[in-house]
Amino acid sequence: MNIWLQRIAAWVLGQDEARALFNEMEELYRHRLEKEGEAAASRWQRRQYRKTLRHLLVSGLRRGSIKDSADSRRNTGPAWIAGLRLPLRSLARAPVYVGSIVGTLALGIGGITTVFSVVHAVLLSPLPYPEPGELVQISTSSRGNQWPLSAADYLAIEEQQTRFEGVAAMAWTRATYSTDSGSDRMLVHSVTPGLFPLLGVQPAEGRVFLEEERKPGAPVVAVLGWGFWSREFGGDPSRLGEPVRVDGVEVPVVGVLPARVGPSLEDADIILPLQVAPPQRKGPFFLEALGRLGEGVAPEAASAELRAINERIFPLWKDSWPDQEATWAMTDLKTRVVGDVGTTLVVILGAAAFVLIMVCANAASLLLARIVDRRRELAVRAALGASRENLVAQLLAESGLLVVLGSLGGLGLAGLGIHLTTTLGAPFLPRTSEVGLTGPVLFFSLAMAVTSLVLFGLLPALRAPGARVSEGLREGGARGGSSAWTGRVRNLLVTTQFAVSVPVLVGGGLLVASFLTLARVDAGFDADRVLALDVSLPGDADLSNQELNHTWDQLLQEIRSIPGVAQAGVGQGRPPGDYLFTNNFVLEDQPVGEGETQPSVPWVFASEAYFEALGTRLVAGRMFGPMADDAPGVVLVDEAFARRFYSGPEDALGRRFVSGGCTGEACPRTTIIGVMEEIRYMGLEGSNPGVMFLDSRTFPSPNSSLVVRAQGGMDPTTLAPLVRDAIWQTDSHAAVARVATGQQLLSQTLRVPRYLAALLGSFGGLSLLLAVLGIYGVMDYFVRQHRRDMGIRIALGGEPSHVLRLVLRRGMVLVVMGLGVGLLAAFLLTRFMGSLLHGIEPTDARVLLSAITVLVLVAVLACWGPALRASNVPPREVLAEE
Amino acid sequence: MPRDTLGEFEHMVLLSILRLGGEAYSVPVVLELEARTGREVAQAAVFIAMKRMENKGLLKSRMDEESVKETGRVRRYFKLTPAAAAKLRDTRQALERLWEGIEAQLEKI
Repeated sequence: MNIWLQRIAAWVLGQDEARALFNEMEELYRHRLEKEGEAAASRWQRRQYRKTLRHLLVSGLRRGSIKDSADSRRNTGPAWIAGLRLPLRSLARAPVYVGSIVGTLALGIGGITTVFSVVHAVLLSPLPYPEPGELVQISTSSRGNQWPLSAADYLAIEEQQTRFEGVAAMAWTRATYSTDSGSDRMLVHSVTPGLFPLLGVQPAEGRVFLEEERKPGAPVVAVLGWGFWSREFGGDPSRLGEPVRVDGVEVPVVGVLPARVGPSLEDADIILPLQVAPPQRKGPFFLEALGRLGEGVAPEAASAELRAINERIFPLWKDSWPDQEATWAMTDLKTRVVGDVGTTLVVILGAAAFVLIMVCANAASLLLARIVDRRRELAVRAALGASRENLVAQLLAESGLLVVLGSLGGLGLAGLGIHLTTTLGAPFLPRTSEVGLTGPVLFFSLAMAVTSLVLFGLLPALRAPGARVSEGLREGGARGGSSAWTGRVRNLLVTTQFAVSVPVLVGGGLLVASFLTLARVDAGFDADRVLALDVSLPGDADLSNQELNHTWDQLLQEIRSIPGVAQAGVGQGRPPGDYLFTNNFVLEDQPVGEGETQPSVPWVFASEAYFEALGTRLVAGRMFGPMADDAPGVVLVDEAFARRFYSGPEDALGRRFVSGGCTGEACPRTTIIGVMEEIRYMGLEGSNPGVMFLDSRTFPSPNSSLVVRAQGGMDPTTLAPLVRDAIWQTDSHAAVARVATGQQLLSQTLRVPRYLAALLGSFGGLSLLLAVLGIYGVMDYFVRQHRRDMGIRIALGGEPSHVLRLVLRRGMVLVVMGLGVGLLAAFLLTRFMGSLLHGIEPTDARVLLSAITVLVLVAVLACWGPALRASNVPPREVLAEE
Repeated sequence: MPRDTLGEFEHMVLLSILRLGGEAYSVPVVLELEARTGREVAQAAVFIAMKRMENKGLLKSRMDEESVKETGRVRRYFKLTPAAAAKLRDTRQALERLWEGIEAQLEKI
């Protein structure tokens, strides 16, 4: 009854007043005791209790509680701030606890918010064009391969289609942009005027193209991208109409696109009208075609019409293009824009979700432990009148505060993460301009915060030891219902943590292994000695082949005379991933049957000096001869090609083929005259399809790749400024771009695998850390709870080492259970990563075993400390505590 | 009676405080009341009444640090305000006027 009276007093009068009341009642009791003796005093006390109860209830119910007026004397401000003061104070007393929970929550929430922002912008949100669902891309499709359309294709579609509201075409190329201060290589788009209305893009300044500007021979005008306009013209509207010099030609600027133009025009600097003359043959295939479906037109109908048009025009081009299987396919534009990043993003999102789960489990475990440690404090509070609801509310407020702080930190980290992603990720992530802390992303972040709160905040509150006052007040009250329950829940949490960390570690390990495998692939050239540059000689567009060759030779002479340069050569294409184009061909002795696809390989223009500079050697046959001897009917191939189509380099010599889809006796035949060492031009992934080399002197271009070889021991980077100077001395208007050493070339190719490995590897590391902390905390707790048992056991003659093993075994049981579940999860989940891995299977046993081994080892290490402590408990001490 | 006047119990508490020198905490007030009225008083009633009168502005309280030395606890002392004095006078006057000349009537019942 005492307790209830206290509680009611606290409710009516407020804590402090209630305490005062009981104090004074005690004083009166003692007074009574002195005057009348114990019996009378006790009777008085009982009467007083009854009357007090009655008065309190009457006061409380009839006139409301008096305590409000009393408290208002102290000026506490709005009620909710007062409610927060207690949780804030108790959190401030445990900075390490608060810091670790807020820190890991911030990491977890920040991480998953960043990833989600990318997933949302790239995968989930529609393209930023009006009615984006109606937009499609049209490409050539044959037996699973897709490639762009040719001019003949596009013109036919434009003329004959009836199901589209409109179609448009786009092509890219690199051109030299020169100003008085220098030259640069820029990405130039050529588009049909209909592209802008198709995408719903309005110019920010000036106008876009007119229909007559696409006629071949019409005066060329330019539309600029917003970024380029801001950089080169300062965004000044009065400068509209000034020209830009592209490949030596002055082109007036008539318009500027707005900053947000959507993914199709995002990286356009300079846009020119697409002027195509009526084509003479089917190829080349260089146009990306977009279409907008007409009002209410079903995609199947449009698709069918495209196929029909294709069939209709086939006879016109049969001579240059006999592939009857090839047709035109329509793909939803968003699907094309997004490409294959979908799998990657989902995998990363999954890993981030796992990390968040681990963070919440960690926080819940810590929170439970802390509650147990605060048993006395909570019990005293209950005795002073706090109801169970009050205590639960206080705990929830604490958890809520932690989640709020963690979320704010997480948002900050997400902002940073998004910034990093958009700057570093722009080269290989589509739609990065749309990534940001938008509404849906913020909402997601809030949802994650609420989920965290539910996961780790509510759990402990379910069993706050508010009612068991006596238990908490008892000195050394170690055992008992709620503590055991806490122990069991924490064990479950640790098992969960280990289970969740397995897939993350395995995923990270797989990506790291994949990256390392790729990094070991021999690209086939001396990366340590090579410096590569793209050089454009703008003034020389009209020179004859002979004159161009002469210009390049002169330039190469200059460069070779630089001290430190061993060799320099010119070609088009750079290893390991920069080829000129792929072309299909038919080997004379390996004819391609009806309905089969012709093989194709990347083509590169090269010269003897080019090969020497790269460090690739001839392994069979001969090098390109002097110009006069060879008609453009010879090629070199590499070993990979020779092995793919023949039995080896020697076997491939002298073989002939017909290229470019040409059929018939009149087609020119090309002969393989030599075989180079294996070298990669299509990236380091997968198998090498082989390379064909043409003599760069037969098709010289003012825009070529220059390869410079440094002398032994020299760092190629140091040669870069010298080479540039030499180039500018020969032609002061030359543009030099994409300067890279061989190592940088390799590194660029490995960019994506490296980022993935680093990202998931760090997720794995974080999971490992959290799991270790988890098991350590739980084992420590267990040892402290069972100190008495251990001490007794030892006192009764037990071996300390036995106790050690006991504790270890208990810990490892939790770990092993978690690992078992985790392995299963890893097995089921990593198969989705297949497309991200190179040279390694998702179920690679070595990675699985390594992950398990690492987890077991760190778990043992983490358990060792508490186990050792348990075995060293001095039995006398423990027994004395009783 | 209009709301302004004191309740009977409150009146008695104020008078007790007055008897104790104008300022007291609840224990001597209880003892005084019991001594003067001869009846056992519920301490909680005194306590609550004093709090309520403080809300009405009839008493002013302060925490007494000195008492810590004696008893280890802080006491709250309640002091009569001028408003209380005025109220006591008013109530007394009202009662006196009502009692005027009717003592004889009381004998007849």
